[in-house]
Amino acid sequence: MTGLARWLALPAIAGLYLGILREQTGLALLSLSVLVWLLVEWLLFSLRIWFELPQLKFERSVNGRTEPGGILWAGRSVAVEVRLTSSFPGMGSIVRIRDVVPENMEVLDQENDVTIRSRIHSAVFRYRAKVLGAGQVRMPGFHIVMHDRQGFFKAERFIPFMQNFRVLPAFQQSGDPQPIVKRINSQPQHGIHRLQRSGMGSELLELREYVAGDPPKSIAWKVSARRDKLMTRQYESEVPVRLQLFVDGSIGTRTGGFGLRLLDQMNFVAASVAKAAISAGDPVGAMLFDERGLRRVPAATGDRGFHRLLEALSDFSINPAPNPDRLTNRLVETALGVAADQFPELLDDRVNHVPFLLFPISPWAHRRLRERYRLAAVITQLYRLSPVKQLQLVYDDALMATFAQHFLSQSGMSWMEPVVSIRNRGFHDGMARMEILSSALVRAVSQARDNEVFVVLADLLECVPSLSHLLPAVRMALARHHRVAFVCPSPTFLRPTAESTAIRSLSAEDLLLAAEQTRTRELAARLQYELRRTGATVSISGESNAIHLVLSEMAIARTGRMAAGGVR
Amino acid sequence: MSQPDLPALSMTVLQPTRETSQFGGLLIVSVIASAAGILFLLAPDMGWPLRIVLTAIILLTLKYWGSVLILVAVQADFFFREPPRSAALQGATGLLTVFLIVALLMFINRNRELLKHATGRPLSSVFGLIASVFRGEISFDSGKAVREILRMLGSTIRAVALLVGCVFVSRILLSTLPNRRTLNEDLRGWMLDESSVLKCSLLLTGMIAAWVLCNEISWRQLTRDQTRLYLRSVFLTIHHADLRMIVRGRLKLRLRAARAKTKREAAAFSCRSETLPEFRR
Repeated sequence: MTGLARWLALPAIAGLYLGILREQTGLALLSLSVLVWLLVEWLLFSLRIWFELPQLKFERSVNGRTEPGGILWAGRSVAVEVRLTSSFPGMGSIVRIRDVVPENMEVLDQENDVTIRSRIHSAVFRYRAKVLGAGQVRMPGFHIVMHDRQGFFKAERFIPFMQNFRVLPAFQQSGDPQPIVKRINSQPQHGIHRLQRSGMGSELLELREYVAGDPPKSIAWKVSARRDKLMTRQYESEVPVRLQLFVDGSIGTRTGGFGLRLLDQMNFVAASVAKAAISAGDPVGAMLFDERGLRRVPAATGDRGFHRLLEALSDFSINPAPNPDRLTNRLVETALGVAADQFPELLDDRVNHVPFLLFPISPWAHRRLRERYRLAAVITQLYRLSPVKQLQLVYDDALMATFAQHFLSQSGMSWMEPVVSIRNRGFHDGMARMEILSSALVRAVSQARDNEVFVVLADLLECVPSLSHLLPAVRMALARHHRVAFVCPSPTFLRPTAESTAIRSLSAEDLLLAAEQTRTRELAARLQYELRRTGATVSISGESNAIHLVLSEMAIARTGRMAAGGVR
Repeated sequence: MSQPDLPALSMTVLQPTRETSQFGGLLIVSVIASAAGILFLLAPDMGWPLRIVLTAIILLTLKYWGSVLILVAVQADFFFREPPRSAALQGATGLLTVFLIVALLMFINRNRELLKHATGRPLSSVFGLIASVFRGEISFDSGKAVREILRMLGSTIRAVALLVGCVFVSRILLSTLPNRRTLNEDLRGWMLDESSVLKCSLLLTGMIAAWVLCNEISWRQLTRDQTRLYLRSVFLTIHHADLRMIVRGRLKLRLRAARAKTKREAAAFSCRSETLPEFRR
């Protein structure tokens, strides 16, 4: 019963009482008619709920597929079609249907929300949505609100229709960078490149004095004749260039809205360079690291290898259980809102009783406690906890915060306030991140072969003071003739150049952006200075410039040279 | 997997929720006009300025309160103006008057969503909409309009049937129920007349049976999760005091242990700091 029906019933009852008491027929008849009207509406509405709602059947197809799972791509739009059917005599009430979509999908024009106003047996509605970030999209089902025509009664239900999609990261198709040195004399096999080590290649590396045991056919006869001593031709090696990606998935890279996380920038760069490398026949592997540890994706080539890498990046991008945080009113309210959206039947007053509470006296505090009781009951039901645990959830803030955060994260909410409180960035995990990255680099070097390109995609801007922990590993990789490139995503998605720090206008947003860019620029300058001293290349921000930097590093590695200037 | 076809069913493409009827503007004007009309008919002795102010207030609250304030106003008018035991509203006139008033209440409530939708828009967009209608930029979809008219006609017939039923049932109930004057006589008659007692007890039994049936159907609609939640809620309600005491006791112990640990650490730190050499200026 809605508030409107209650407010209508109240004067009607009072009027009927007064009409009978004062023997005013008109007043009594009017009041009684209103009461009978309310009663009839209630009966009709109850009948509709009992008979019509269970008959309602849904079928959703995403990009024309109705399977419970599938693959979507970040940054691309998807076409969703929902068919609903109802058996005889069809839906008669006003039914508002909303296809509940997670935060990782942005629905265009809110067309996932439709209303049935007339009696129908079958219907279809379509909408388009854009997938924002790599990871997972979980479409849980349909939220249904039934009204009677007068708005006196309302019933909310959730009809589950689960479809779970893996979202692969977006990538950019990059053309081959133009070679800046002389092309090679002979065309090697696809994916095989020159290396400045003696081997069995076709390009001449050097001439040296003959040593007993050298094959006679490698003797350079003309040079030997000129120098009057036997000289041997030494050829270059021909090896594949392996690309090894190091992707940072620590807490700092996961905070923010889907599609705007630092991890999304890194995924974009990683997928783009992997695509370019695999197109050139180079194997690509990855080391994915975060607080949970290190995960290695073996180097592979070809379309299958590319898809395996994208799947690994997608799985890695799914936010894990967040770190326990402080309980706030906003966290409880948000969790209650999501519960009302996806589990309205569990918040029904008939089944979700709150015990009698005398304290607290304050009505606001009393209401908050009641809400907490109701949320605790829903969480207990969803996670199959005991009644003691349910009461513990009510009185133990830390436990409630942990479960509420976990519930919101599992419901597809991004790591923003109130799911995860944003602390001072980089302060808490800089040292740990350097340690993990350093060990990943060392491990990769120990497992590496000749001529590898290491691309480190990590949020290093906040870890500049702890950079000394990483430098020995970088130096070791460079000493083993590997190339190392760093890509640090920028929180503003912009390269910290002099133009980007200029104040565009005096609005608060532009001033904040300029301040953030100035700060990023200072940090980037320090980071670039430290890393370039060791011989590594650095790019700030995960945009196309970073992709080109990595591709040019790979081009250098393919030519077998040590630097872009042609130094051999 | 191929998409299953539903060829035998007529498909309706649903409109987004934010879209409204083509006759929305007309309906809003009708609601406001009919509400204002009935309000001006009430309390003819009241001064015009006061009547206009009250009408304006009630019209402004239509969006939130629907027909509630209009019902209160009409009831107040009846209360003050209708003489007790008057025969004026007992016959067809009374039925017709009540019929019209309840019809108006139904009409207002039914179009409350439209009012909400209209008032949710900024005023500039409303003016823009009106201007675009006059400029002919908004095309009138005749097919859609015909469909809407047919739908409105059907719902009007249903509403009239409901209205007639409600008013007649109320009339019958009022004539059956004892009023204040005849209450004592009727009660005495009921008690003496065995057939009346039987009828009454049968009516009561029927009502209780209907209530039990409705309740049973309602409980059988619950899902498995809801039943589990209900059982747990009942268990918790019964044992709430005991369980709360246990949980709070455990939490206190844990808090005490945490405080003790903090104190120990603080004491250890102070011991360490006491052994440090003094700072010399």
